[in-house]
Amino acid sequence: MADHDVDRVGGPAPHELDLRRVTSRRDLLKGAAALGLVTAGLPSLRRVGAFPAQPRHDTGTGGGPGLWNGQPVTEPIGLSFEGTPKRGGHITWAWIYEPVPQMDPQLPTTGDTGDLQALYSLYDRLTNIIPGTLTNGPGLAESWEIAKGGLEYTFYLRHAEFSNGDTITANDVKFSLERFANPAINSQYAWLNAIDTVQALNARTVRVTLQYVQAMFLDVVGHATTGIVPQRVVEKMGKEFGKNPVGSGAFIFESKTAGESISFKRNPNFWNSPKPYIDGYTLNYVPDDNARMLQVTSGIASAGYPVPYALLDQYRDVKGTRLQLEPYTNIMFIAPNLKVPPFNEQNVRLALNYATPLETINKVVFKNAAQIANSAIGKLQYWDPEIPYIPYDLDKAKAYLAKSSVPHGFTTSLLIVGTDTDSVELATILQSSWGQIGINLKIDEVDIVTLEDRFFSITNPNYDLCFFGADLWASDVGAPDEIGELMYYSKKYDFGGLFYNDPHATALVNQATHTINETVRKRDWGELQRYCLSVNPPGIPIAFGPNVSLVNSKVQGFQCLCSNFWPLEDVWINS
Amino acid sequence: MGVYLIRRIGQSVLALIGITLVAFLLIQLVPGNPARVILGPRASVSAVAALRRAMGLDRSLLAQYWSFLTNAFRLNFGYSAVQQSPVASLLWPRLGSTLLLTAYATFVSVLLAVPLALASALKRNRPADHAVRLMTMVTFAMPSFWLGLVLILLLAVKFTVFPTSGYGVGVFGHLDSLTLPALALGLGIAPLILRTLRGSIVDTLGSEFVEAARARGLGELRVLGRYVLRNSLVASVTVVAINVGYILSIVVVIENVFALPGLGSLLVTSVQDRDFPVVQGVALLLGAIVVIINLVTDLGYSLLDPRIRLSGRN
Repeated sequence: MADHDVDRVGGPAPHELDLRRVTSRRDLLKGAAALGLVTAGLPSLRRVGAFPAQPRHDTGTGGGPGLWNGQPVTEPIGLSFEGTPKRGGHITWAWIYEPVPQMDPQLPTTGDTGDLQALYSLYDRLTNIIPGTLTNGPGLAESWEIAKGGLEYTFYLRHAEFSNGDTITANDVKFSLERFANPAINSQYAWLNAIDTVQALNARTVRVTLQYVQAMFLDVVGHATTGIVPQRVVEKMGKEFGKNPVGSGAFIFESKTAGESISFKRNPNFWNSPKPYIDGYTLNYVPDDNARMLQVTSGIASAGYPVPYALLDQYRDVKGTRLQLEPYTNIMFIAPNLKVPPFNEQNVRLALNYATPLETINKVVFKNAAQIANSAIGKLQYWDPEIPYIPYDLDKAKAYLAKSSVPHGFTTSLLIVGTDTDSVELATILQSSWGQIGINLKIDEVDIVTLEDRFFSITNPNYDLCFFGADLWASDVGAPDEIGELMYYSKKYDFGGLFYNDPHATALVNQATHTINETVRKRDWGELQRYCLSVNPPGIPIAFGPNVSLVNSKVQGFQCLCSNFWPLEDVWINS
Repeated sequence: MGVYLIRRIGQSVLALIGITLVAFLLIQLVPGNPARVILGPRASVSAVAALRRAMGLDRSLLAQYWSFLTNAFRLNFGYSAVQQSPVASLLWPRLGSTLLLTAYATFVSVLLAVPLALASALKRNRPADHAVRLMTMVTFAMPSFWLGLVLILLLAVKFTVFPTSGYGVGVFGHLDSLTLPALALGLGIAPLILRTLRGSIVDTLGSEFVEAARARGLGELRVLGRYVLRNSLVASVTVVAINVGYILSIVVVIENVFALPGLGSLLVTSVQDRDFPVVQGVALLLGAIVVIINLVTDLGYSLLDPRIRLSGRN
């Protein structure tokens, strides 16, 4: 275990308050600078569509990677864009996801990063997340127009081809979006859908009319499950299409060994030539953390993901590799079961927040790499870095608990993934700190499937408190709407979740998600962040976890999008 | 002999049915909804329920088990909704790597155990004997996964003699990649063979026919090889056969440590994914391997030693 002030868990030392405020202000300023470009450019992005994209990799003159020196990750560290992009080479990537079972983007998959990454490579979408930002730019749609206050979108397609050489037409886009909007086909992500009708106005123009104004619609049509598929081929092949996909993305499916690995090769017909630079890549399922890291350091694999926090120091500076840490939309938090007393009481939730030593947790559990959370939903668009996180204050915690129905404390349990050492460490710290306000915390260790089953059950959620650790809860899009609705307006969906039901928050969410007015959205999401953090929190936000990969030094341009997918068409290999 | 054979085969079939029943019931006890795993946590309740019906999980446990058993006799292990492939197509490609690892580990354990047992028996109660027994006690006590990690650090990272993980390409690539895992397994089970064999050798060394062979002037190497070892190994054959079952139970851990695409790693992921048909298929296949090896061992044993056959008849 790294050195830590375990003996300080019982209460903050006097200087910790000062340290916390200094640290948070420095971090907040860094975060504000990072998001400055995003917030400034938003109005033009959403109205005009055409975007002067200037991602880092296009310059080809990027500098060498920086080293992580134990600081909270608020900006990408360790990225490398050295040399000039050139074609050639193959990437082997060791990670924790099994190969996707089927590759039709509108049919169900598990929805985990592994499945969606494969879909992301195989299919292009109308819009795509711009690397290094929280916003979407042009994809297959070169530009678009928004009319009727956000109810109507007209997309102008670029000239592009599927991997079999067929031209991508408006009818293919119409077909794909209608499949996405059909819950009988898209049973998994139908909850994201707001599409009413889709019209192909001509061969390269598509008009989409929404059922209601969906502020994140441009993000939705950049989601992996809205990948554009060839109508003619899908109708001919039916379910077999998922095993033999024909896509519009940078890569073509090559081969797969179920439960083991999947390989892709360059799509020669990809519209964004000369990309992809690499000839292809292979995803290998390597669940053991040590085996995965050793594959990278020994040269068997070009990259390994994820790198557990416990191994950060060990792999910080290993010859021939580099550690990449990138902020993304992950939020690690504790979700109380709001249907179960006493968690349905605002004062109890506030007490738990004030009794949680966030700095100690970040230092001990996440090795200081995470950024302490000042938002219940993650660092997304409209995130306000100026709002301070809840400080560790046992006196305040006791004061809030004294106002509740359980002033002397209570016994409860925390559901965690037992094989995740970070979760076990965090739970142990909370046992000690919450114990000081009279909360007797038992730890309930299960596997991830059991945790999700017990948490997401709408009829019988079987937990008191549930901790979502690294990489478990992240937004698929840069807009806060997806996670915001799940967190603040749970009853909208018919799968279980957080059961948060606050009229003020509900009204704000309804307003913010159903308007494209940037001023209103910024105001409402800011108010939601403040309200749901310090007034009536739905849970206990812990930290924003960075995406951490170990990458071979020769691999360049390897970076993660905010949604935890990797645009591998941007990657090249230096000899 | 025929009666013995029929009786043993019958017992083996019953054992296999018992294995499938236990595996079936155990996986049912594990919490988690397979349909939810397939569709993800944000799928609608109705979609999850529909998939559950499509997978036949709404039928009674007896109906589900009967369906599996009757299909298994036709070598049809069902369909994996998680992997969206027939279960057989998942099992057969992985059977080879598990069998190769098992055979390699058994070979390594015998290669280590036989000379060490011989040396230990010949130098009975002397420092060499104590050293061998102490060393094997240490390797026997070490958890296999820990031993595997130590071997990786030593022979793959510090001295890059072998790959850190993976299965390699081609026969030589496979053997190269399997050496460290085979060593991790072999070091763990060699002590079991060694102790049995050492005891047998000690007994055999004191036998009259060995004395007679020496009295006839036969060389010591010939005496050891043709008379002592040959008669001592029979008892150890049973131990080796039992060790195969032990190895197959440990491959679950070893295949994950070394990222090997075998039945063990498939079992782990299918339990995690609540992939019931695959769990049952793997349990049946691994059980069949152990039962068949034990059956062959028993039959071979009875051929080597007629007293076994005759006592069975009596």
